[in-house]
Amino acid sequence: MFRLLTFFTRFRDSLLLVGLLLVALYLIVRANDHQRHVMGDAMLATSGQMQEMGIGISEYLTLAEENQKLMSQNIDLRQQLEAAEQQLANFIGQIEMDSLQLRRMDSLLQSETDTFTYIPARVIKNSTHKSYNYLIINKGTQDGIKKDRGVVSSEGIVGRVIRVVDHYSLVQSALNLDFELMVRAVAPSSVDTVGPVGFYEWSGRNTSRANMAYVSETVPLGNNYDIVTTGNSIVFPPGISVGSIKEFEKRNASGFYRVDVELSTDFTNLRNVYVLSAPYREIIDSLEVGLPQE
Amino acid sequence: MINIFRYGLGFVAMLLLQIYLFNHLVLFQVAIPFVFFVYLIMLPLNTPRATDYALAFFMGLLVDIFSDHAATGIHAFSALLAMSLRHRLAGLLTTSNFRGVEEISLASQNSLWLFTYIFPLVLVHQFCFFLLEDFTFAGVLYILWKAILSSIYTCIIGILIVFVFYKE
Repeated sequence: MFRLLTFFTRFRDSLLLVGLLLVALYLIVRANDHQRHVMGDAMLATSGQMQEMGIGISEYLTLAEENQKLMSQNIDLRQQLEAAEQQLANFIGQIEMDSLQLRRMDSLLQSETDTFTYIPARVIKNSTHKSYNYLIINKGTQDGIKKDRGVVSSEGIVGRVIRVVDHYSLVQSALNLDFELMVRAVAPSSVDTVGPVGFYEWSGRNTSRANMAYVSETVPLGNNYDIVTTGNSIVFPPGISVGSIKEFEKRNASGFYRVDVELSTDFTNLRNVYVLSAPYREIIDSLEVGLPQE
Repeated sequence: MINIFRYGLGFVAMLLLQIYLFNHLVLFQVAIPFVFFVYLIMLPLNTPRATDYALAFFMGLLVDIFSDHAATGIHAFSALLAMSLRHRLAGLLTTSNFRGVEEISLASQNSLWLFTYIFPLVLVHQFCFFLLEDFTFAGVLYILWKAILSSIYTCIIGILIVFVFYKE
């Protein structure tokens, strides 16, 4: 005890110096946006690398399941291709009608080829048990990913990129109370894309359930209606699957439905995802530069 | 007692000068004079170290808070770090047989001695400051360049002030 006391009195000044330096450093990192972000980016990169080290093993274990999934996806795609070819053949038949219609049809096809680009990525860290869930994917600025890009899996939406470093990106999961999205309910297997619009809201508890808010009671709704993205933003293209209506009911006072949505993405088992980028996204973003932020 | 009063007055005056005058005397958009730090290292060397550190920390923090270009804590950290080196440097520069560094009188030194005492300390302070402001090693050469220019600038103003106010 006495020794401890002499130690403290002997190094009192040095201890004070180190203590004050630490206080100043804490202030720098906590109180300033720039320094805090640099620190956050460094931590994101480190955490990403550490997660990727352990990922190889679990990847081998789930290889069979993953294969199965890819196969079913393959079949789906092949069917879609066939349907698309059918449609294309129909188009070609129509195009031969006259030159005016041909030009119109051409421009229609043109706009359809300017679709979103997909960048494949692998999920290396994922959480589903919190109120604000995030994932980390192994692609970053070096792979052309930027902030505010949509992320989807083969089953449906996953989230939105909110921070990017060289080789990793942080994605705000759809299982996040802050995640905002406008969605549309459409009748199952209907080709047209009209239907009531509402807001996606995660309830914060169940990883496979969400709510669709602000759907007016005046519109017809049915069980098993598909919930898809509206395409009213440049983050997601229209028609990406979100889920389907599990149940809905009228509530007396509010004038809105209470809609319970079963999510199509299995967030507890995410591995391969795709980052979306709208065509001409840079140009669109540059239009908004300088506008007052809310 | 008179000394404490004098240095207390100097503290307030230097703080006001730094915030309202020197912070705005930016030269070529690169060099900023941080003259308040010269006041800190010109405190008598027999001041207790704890007082040294406390003064450096609070003065740095106050400059941080009241200047619009600095982020909170940056001056506090760099002033504290550079301040902790001043006794060692003063000891290195003085070869005569003093019993301790504490007995060296800063005011009675010649201008060359003062320059070799002030310049390295100011350089450490400014380099640390600009590095923390950027918070990355990416542009470290430019930061060094900035720190050297600012240090020369600070030294010139600092030594002028020392000659006017510290010499008998």
